[in-house]
Amino acid sequence: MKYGNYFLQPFVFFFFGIFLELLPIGINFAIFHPRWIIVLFLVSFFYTEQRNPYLYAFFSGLFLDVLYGSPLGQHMSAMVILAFILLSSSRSILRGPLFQALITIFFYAIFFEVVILLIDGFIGISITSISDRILLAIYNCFWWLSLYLVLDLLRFKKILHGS
Amino acid sequence: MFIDEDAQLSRKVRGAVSSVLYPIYGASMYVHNGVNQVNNYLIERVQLAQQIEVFEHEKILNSVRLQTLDYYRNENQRLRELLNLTSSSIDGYRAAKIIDSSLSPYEHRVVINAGSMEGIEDSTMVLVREGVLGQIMMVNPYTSQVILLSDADHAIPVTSTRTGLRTIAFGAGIEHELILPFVTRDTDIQMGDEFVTSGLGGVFRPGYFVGKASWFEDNASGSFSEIRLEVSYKMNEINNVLLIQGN
Repeated sequence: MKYGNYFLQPFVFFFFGIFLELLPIGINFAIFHPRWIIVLFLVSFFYTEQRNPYLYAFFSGLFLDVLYGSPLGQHMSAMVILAFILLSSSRSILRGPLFQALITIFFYAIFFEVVILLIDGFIGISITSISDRILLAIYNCFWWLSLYLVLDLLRFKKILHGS
Repeated sequence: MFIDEDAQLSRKVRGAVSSVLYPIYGASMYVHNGVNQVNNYLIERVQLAQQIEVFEHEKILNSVRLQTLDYYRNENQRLRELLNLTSSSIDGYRAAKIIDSSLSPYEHRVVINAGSMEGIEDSTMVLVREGVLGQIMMVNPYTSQVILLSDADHAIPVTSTRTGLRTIAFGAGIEHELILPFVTRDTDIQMGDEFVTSGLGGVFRPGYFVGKASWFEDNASGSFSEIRLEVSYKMNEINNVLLIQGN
């Protein structure tokens, strides 16, 4: 992979994720409002085969913290932990079939929400809408799969080798 | 994280990041406005004609109300002087525009295009034509985040205009709904009772409309009733807000 692609592609994914996150979409269209920054992070992770996604994860978390008005470090920690787990299990995800990858991504999305809830609990913020957060995880998976299929269909790149 | 939650030491970091976000806000609003324009273009002429008719009626009604406003304002001033109350003028207000209406569909918050550079401060009261919208929860250099009344983490001291009952309305986490918890069953509250800000706590000035009692249920097992208020603003129709510093 060229160095230009290595730096440019995550950068594009990152800002496109922020752009989508900021699009004002009403509650009636909640399915169009997953955590876009995370979805694009996941897509970018597999698409660009990042070996060091921590910087991307760190800044994604920072922007999420500022956007949602949450304590600085909450989403950052969750994103960095997610990056660590993704990196350690990326080989099995990349080699496995698409369905297995989807289920794994779903569990990671749930794990991310659990980390956020745990930090909320530790800090003393009232924990609300657990079911909504599970829905968010499902939306994240849905959009990750959709983007994967679109990129695969356009033959930009075969993301998952096993699929 | 713990330091940030208690002391807000990271204000500078937030300010820097939100400054980076500001042009992206602009871009997303540009797309949003474009979609809205296409949507508006597709609205049928009949609907537009009906809307114009409604607006014409409202215009007449408002002009009649405006004619009596001076009279009531003077009368109110005289009564306040008689009662030795402080003035309730809204000096020092400032208008702002909503630039993002739903950062997350499950958190009722909006972003406005006014920040610390314009002198906005934390906990500033945010009003719309229909009444109180919420308060500023985070100030960035060019933008501020507003937490709406209906957000599950928000609470506002209110009083009933009919009985003078003072209580606190919590956000229900559902669009347009507030909850009045810990109201005993023998409390005099009826459907349609209007609640306004009581001014307790000093964040919200007294007398601004909050909502109407819309749902009422006696808890058979306990000694409390469950009362819900409905706020009158429609989030999708709000573009501009008014910011007023508290007491």
